[in-house]
Amino acid sequence: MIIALCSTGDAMESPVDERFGRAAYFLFYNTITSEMVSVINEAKTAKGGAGALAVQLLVNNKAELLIAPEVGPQALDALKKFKIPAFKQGENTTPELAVLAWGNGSLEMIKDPGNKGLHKV
Amino acid sequence: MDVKEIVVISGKGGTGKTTLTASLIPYLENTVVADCDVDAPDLHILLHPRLTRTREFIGTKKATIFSEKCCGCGNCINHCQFIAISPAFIVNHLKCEGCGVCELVCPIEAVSLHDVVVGNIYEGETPYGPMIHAKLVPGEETSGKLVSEVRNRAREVAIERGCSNVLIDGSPGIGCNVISSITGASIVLIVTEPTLSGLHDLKRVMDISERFSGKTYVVINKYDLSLDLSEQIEQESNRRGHSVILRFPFHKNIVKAVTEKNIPSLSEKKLFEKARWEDFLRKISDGVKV
Amino acid sequence: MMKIAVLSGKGGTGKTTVSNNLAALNSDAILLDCDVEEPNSHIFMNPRIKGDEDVAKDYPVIDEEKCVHCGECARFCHYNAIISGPSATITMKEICHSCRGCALVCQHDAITYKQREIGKIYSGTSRFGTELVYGELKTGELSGVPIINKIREMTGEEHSILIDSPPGTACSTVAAVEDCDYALIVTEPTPFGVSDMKMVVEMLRTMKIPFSVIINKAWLGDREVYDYCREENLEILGEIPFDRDIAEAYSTGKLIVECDPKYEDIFQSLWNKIHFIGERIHGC
Repeated sequence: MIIALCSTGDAMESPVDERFGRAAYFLFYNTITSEMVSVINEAKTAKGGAGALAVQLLVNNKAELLIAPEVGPQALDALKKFKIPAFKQGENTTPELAVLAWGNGSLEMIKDPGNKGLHKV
Repeated sequence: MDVKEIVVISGKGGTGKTTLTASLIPYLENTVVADCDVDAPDLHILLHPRLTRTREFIGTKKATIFSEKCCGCGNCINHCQFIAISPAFIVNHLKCEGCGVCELVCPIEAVSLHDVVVGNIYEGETPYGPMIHAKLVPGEETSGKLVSEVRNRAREVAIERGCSNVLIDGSPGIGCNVISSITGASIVLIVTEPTLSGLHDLKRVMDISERFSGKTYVVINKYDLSLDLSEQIEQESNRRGHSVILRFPFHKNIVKAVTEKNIPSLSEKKLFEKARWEDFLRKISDGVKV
Repeated sequence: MMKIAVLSGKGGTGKTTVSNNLAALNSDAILLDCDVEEPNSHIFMNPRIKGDEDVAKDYPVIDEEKCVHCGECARFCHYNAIISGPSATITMKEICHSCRGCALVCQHDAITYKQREIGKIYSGTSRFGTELVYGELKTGELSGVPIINKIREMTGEEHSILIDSPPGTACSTVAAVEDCDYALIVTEPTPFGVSDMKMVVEMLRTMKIPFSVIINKAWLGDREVYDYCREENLEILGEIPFDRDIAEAYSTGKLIVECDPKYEDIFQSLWNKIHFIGERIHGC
């Protein structure tokens, strides 16, 4: 399974990013091969629709699961349509710790958008 | 770290947003201030920031048609939904939204899109902490993006400097500028005035704040201009579950302070005390904590 | 006849006051309230509404039967309003600018457009006999420009037109003042008034629209705005003094010309001056 993570750097030991749409990097960690690919988030500097563009990046990199600080309503809707479940990274400080926490089932699933966005509430 | 955002908006213009924002700043600790009223930024006039960094913000693309290449087929004109191309194949940059359709339908590559600077972003220091503001190039359409950029930068600065709050001066209206400045904010302060227009606009802007952000508080400025309308504003706010946390009288000295480019809450301390400014500050800091 | 835009950089300087008082005195003019985010003219003009019209905007809908999820539309969209993956393609109507480019790039004929309402336009006759057209953006919508464009299409050439513009200098202001023959900047003698007015001056100069200045709440602040006008060679067409009685009457939806007959003269002479200038510039 490929897990997408929000990171401020290009390594599993980098500090996690506190934003989803505008995270500096996305890390794609393959739990079977233990390989990791880091991708600079072009949406970070996108002039709008950053959340949507980030979801596109996840889809392009065949992510099957997302671990993020929080996800806006539009992006969450989009993730659901692409069947990518999202989990809260919570107190974990690095992507590596977040993956471990997900592995032992201690991450909470993101069911509601973290902030109100353009959708009706 | 969790950065709390407090946004001041008004619906109707000229009710005293900027005056209130400026008055709040000296009383908020660990705060970055951001002026998101990008097409009429005025906060810097009272806060006198020492600028440390200025940069251009590229917020959009616009099309250009090269007349020497153009074959005059008219595809671009026919497909442009924004009526931005003249019969002489000149792009009106005030109307072009940079969608790229003209470039797509041009059979001979006579159109190209290029980046456009939509405003400048300024970072600076005031005696009360860091300040970010921006100025839209007059007539530009992407003011919402510029607002988001100012807000994001203010958050970044807050995190870098260990500040716990960002205070945002928003713009009038209910459109993209306003939505960009309040989406996801912790507290929205709506400054209104006791006029029929103020009340009308207040209802519309409350719709927006209820939908896009957290807690909403109301401030009635110049409340003594019409006690009757102030009462109606109070009722409307209570009905919606928002409290009116400050009632400020009309006083020429406030205009005088602004005209002298002073922060009214510092130069007119007595007036503010009388209006129970301390209570107001306490309610805000309680609101931030929740 | 002349098309006159009334605008201001700063909100609350008195755009509506100026445009509405002029309209009240000249019942053969048409008043267009283009401040569709916060329209206020109807509060003062109190029109009997004769009609309303919805304003709608296009957004793309993907035909699941036809879509092969090739991703062409998502790659084209400059606003990132479409996301495409191997098994789904989704559109985000709030971000869409309705450019219709996605349907053009789709090789499978899988994109059609639906419409959604973004606001309404109302028209009616005011209590002064003046026709009023005003638009109202639905709350939660981002841009009122399509509504403004439609309001402006609704009037002919035979009447003088007064446009109450949105504050600021962003796209909706441009849409409201475009093709106007003349503009009036309403400002106030405070540092904020001057600073915001400078941006409007810059915008009008870029748009090549001639203009002059009206100073509202005169004597309340300082002289900076007068100095600026002199330096920039801007004509001050009129001054409206600050008067607490006016402010209180305004709060209840009354116009200045109803409060005190001397203001009737101020506004009538303003109207005459504007038309005199109009004849000089455009011959209209």
